Amino acid sequence: MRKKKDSKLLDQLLIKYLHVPEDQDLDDSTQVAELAADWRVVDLGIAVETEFGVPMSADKALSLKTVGDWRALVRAGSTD
Amino acid sequence: MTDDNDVEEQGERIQGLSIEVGELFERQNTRADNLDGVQKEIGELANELGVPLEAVDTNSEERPSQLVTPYDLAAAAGSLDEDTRSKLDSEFLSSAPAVPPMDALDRFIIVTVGCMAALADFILVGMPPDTKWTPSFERSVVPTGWLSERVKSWNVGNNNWLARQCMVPFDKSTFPGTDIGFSPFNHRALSFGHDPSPLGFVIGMMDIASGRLTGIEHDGYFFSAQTDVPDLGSACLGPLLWLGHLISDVATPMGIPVPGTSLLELMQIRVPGVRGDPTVADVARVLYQQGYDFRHYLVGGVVPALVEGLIRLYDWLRFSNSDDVERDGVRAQLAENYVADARKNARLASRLFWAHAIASGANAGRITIQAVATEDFFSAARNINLAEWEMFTIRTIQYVKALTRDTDLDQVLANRRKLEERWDSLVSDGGSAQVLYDKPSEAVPFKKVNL
Repeated sequence: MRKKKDSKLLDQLLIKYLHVPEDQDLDDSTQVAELAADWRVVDLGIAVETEFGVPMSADKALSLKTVGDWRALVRAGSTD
Repeated sequence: MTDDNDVEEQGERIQGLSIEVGELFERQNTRADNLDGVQKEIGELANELGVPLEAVDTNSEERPSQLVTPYDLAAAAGSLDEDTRSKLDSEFLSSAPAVPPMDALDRFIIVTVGCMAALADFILVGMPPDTKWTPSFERSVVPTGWLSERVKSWNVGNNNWLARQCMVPFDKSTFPGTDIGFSPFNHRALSFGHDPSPLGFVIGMMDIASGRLTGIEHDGYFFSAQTDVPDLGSACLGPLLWLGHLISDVATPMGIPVPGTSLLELMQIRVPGVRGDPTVADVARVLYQQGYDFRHYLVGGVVPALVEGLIRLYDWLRFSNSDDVERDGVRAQLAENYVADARKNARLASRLFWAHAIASGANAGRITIQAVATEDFFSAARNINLAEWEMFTIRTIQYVKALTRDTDLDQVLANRRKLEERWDSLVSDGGSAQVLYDKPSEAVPFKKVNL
């Protein structure tokens, strides 16, 4: 239950911080760098750390290349 | 129409000069009469004493024998060739520049101070130390500022003693269940009460009195949320609470934002040419997240302080004992004082402007170098020395004001001095009008830098 909630919230954050159109499909292979500028990805990192308590940094946020990487990170953080 | 105005203006000037020459001629006649009287008395005294006196009689040809009327002068001026008239114009209409010109020593000092400021900007101020939200760049050129690093290395915890004493309603850092985007890493940039400026003070007071938090959402929307119950005691101590809270935050890892951040957060204007279409508000917030906080702003103040201190010291050392300002005790003392002060201020404004221009230019160079090296807008923007640019803006306004000030009074005083010098030459030369056309060697158009 917790994981489902987290997944939904993460998608909302992705849409909000990366300025993704709501009708766009966000599958795991979607490249984050193609969606948004670096500074927006760092903003997403700040939101993820605040919402999920997952330790983040700018370099770590920029190292997560795909949407799947972000989902995996949040999943791992939630089960810790 | 313009030609008519010019002719009319020239005519008025000639008429003014004619009147002045007429007055001078009358004074000369009075003096000549006095001299005649003295000569007559000496002659009578010599006769009474039986002393033979072979006084040199004044040759009537050596004395002005014809009263110069305004009409004569106007006619003479009309017959002057173009070259002579332009020379007279430049000497009597535009020889008192609004800003005293610089000499070699002025230029040397300005360039030296400007270079010192540029060096301080690069070494002492440099880049703000990174936070964990600052991306790393392999090709970064500008180093972290030595002084900035020292100042920011001194840290206190977010829950320090002063913070516990000065709790305020605008310090809420997260709003779970909402999408306003507040986090412990940006809430001080997004809430107006944390802005160390007059606007921040006013809104902070209102927030403390009403128990609210007023700010901007991450998306740029204005919002105000109830975060505490209104408390009369807190409202009475509002200024102390606001100041104490900002002091308690200033040395925490994230610090407080630079003055004016709340205004910048209100500016939802796109910055062109940057990927991701950030607004001015986004730029201010991201720079804060990347370490550009109030401490770095204060360290940046070293550069304008250096320029202001050294240029003012030089000005004081060189001109404070200058006694060349002719503050005549009888005639037009107010005008002399006014012009002397105006020229003194204009001189200082110009020297400060040029020294700040060099320092700001060097800062612009630093920004450009970093932009080229990293190809990142925010990395380049973190090189902006905000304190220096603010001071440069102020000095530019003052310099433009000095350049465009009314210099009629300066010109009148300069012309009066020239007329007096020529008049003295005329008297000492026995009345020959030639001296009026020969520029005396000591009669400079205007005593530059001395006023």
